[in-house]
Amino acid sequence: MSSVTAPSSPTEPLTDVALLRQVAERRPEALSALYDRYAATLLALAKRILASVADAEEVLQEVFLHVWNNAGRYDAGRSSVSTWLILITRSRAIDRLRTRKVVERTHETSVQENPVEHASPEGVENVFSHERRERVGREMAKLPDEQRQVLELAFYEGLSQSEIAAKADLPLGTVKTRTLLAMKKLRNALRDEIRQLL
Amino acid sequence: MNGEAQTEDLTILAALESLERGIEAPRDAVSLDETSETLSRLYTEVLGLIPYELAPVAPAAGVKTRLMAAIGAEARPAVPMTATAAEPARVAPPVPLQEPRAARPAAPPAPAARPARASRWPLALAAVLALALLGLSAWLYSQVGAQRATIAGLRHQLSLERVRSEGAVARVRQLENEGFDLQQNLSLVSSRAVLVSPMRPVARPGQAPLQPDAHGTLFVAADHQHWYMSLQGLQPAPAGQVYKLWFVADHPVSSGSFTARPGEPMALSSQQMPAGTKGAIVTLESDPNAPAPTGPAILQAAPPYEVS
Repeated sequence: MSSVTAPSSPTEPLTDVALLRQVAERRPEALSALYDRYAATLLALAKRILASVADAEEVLQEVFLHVWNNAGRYDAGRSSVSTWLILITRSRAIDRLRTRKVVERTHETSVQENPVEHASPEGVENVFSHERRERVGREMAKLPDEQRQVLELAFYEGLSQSEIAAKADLPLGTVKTRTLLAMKKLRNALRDEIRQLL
Repeated sequence: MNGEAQTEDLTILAALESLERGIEAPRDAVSLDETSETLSRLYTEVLGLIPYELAPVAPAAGVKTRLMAAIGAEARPAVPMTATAAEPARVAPPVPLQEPRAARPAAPPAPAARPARASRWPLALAAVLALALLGLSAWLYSQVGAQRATIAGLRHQLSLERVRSEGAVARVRQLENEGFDLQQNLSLVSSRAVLVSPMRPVARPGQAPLQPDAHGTLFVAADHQHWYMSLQGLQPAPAGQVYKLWFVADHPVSSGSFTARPGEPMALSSQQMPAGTKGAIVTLESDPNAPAPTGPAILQAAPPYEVS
């Protein structure tokens, strides 16, 4: 997704940071390019959290509207553009999940999936993102089930360590230990990926 | 655990906690040393990589269309999107029309040229009118485009407001249901000849109660059918066990099982009570379907007193 070196010819794509800078200058074509790069990944994340494509698409639209209005707030020292977008999407999706849980306590809500065929203007994946997905998927699959479980509960369901302990009926110390082991394994296994993002 | 390992562990836990605040939340007031700063960044990126395990999902084409329409009115004019386009493309200014006389060098006009100059007036006028018409068309076109973008933006806001109003309607329904429950409970406790039994911890002979802080109250209506029980101080049931409420007539009759959360009061109620009920107990059971109490008794109804 992000090119590490500065492009040297007119045909090379802009880096994520350069694109975001242009979004901050209110250039819609920059937002369009950013959308084409990340929409499929962000939508997958939102759908994983919300289990509804319709809700996930609404979150996706909210995220990119937020990016359009707040691109100037991006802090390159804090995270890569990819991580920034992903964590904003996660926050919005978790907020909507929590709102939905309050509503569903009172009456049944049925989530109806939109059967419309989804088409991407540039194809869903390019080679680069496909390789990243394979590497990350492989390392996540290598995690022991109990470590993967606590990580997924924290990331995809927005549960705190205490809430995970209560839900999984485990001591808080055990949850923390499993989380730490999982994160350290991922950090070591995905060094190359992290280096590309930094 | 040595200092470095402890620092790393604390950094990881802090990164997970910061997920709740969001990536755009202000940084903590306490500044980190360089090692912690680096670790914090590393583990933030680890978190950002997790969703890449998911298969990407292509959004419907309409999502981007709506998005671009919503931002269209606020955008600057498009420029070429290349890394070497350091300057925006410049639009050539329109060539100003010049009066034929002013553009010509000063020379005595020949008698034969006078008819030619006179014939250029209609042409010049037509050119001016054509340009004016073009300008007007361009302006109208841009206005139409802006209006369409505004309409698209308003439609999007309308859909958002609809979602919000649906949430508000659901919340109102929830409150209505809660209000109805409260009304029922109020009518129960304010009806005449209500029996009230304190629920007290059960102490086995020679032993302290299993849960000395647990307590509650049982209200029974005059019809000896409607009842309401409030419970407090119950500890969460151990894994694999549940609390069961029994009404004791000739023999204990189960009135259902429930769980308890720390610090949260419990409220149980029903419109039915076994005939001839003389008492009530709460036990801790391993089998939620047990036909009779097998586990230890936690609470028991004391002899009731009548409230009229």
